[in-house]
Amino acid sequence: MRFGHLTACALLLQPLAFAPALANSGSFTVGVHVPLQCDVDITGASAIEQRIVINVRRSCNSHHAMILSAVPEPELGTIAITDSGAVQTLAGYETAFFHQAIFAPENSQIVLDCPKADPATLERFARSISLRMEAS
Amino acid sequence: MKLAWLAATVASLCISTSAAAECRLSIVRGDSPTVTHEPFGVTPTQMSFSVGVRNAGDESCLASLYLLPREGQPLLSDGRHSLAYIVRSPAGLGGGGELGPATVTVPAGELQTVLIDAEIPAGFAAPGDYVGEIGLRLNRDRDLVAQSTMTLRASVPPRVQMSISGARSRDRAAVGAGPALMDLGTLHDGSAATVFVNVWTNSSVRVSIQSENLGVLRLVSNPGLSPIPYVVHFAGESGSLSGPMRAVRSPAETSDGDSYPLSVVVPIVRAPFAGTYRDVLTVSVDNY
Repeated sequence: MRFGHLTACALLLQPLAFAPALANSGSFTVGVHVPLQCDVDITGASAIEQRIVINVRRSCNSHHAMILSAVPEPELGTIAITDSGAVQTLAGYETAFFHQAIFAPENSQIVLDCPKADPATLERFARSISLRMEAS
Repeated sequence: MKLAWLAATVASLCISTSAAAECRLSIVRGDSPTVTHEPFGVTPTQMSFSVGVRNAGDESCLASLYLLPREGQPLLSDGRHSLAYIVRSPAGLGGGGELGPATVTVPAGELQTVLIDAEIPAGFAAPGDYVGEIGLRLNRDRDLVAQSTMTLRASVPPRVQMSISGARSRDRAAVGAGPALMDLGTLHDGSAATVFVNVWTNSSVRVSIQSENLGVLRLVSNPGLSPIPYVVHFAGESGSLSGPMRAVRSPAETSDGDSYPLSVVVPIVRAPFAGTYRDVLTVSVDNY
């Protein structure tokens, strides 16, 4: 899965010759634009007993939310999800982890722990998982 | 009989002598203040001065005043450069080696002032203190009756003007909405842009370039986040703007002036936060 956000902000305005004003000093603004880039790739996944481990490679140069979506499986119980040390439970179809820092491209893991699990349900649930990043 | 003839002759001489003394003209030099000629002025520099003509006699008389610029040209000089001037009025004073005459009627026992309206045409000039001697000649009929000289003085100060070209207006619809923008575009290693500092001056100049953010571009939405450093290249010199960059230059001392490229380069990009980064550069040019 790959969700990329590339925002081309309209920093550059219409070109216009700068009419010189004669004086002995003048000012101008130097401007540069850094485009927004947020990407996440699932590089691997495993389901062992009651735990699902998702390996991801992600990068984002802005504040963002990592959003995990899945089709609920009530018989798995309340699922705890851990991302970058933060733990949340899956309520409904999705949960979001908000990150203030930026990520240089890095590999990390998202871990889902289910209190109860039978292999078929766990696999069905694992296959329904998707990830996306939303920059703010 | 002889005695009568002698008496008549003496009386005649006395009358003749007193008639010659009745119109006695002299030149009284008037004011000739130093004027300041702006080298980038768009109007002529007024350089009026006055010459007094005194009549110490007891009969009104008509006199003609001539001006004789030294070496025949109405020029002021500082030893290296010259500065032309033009005599505009009174009527009768025109161009040429000898200017005039201005005619003036001076009542008996009075002083008449002749105002000479001169000007230095608008135009570029080298800085300096310019002087020019001008001879004054007073004629009655065709006879020289008095002469003198005056010194005309003009000062040309060192001046500089500049503009920045190559940047873009911030907003087409709002002239004067803010400083022009030097656009580095989308950031990448080696992002660069160039503007030109155009300088007009009549002497050497010192160019000073200062950065509002001390040489870094800051994120507009959150200036506290990691900034992006950049390097400035100006007319052969390079450096950061953590402090003011100063350079002494000698532009062509003509009305055409000179232009110097000013480039901003971001050498290396290290995963900056997304958004728009800015800094404001101020270029000052002073005579040095």
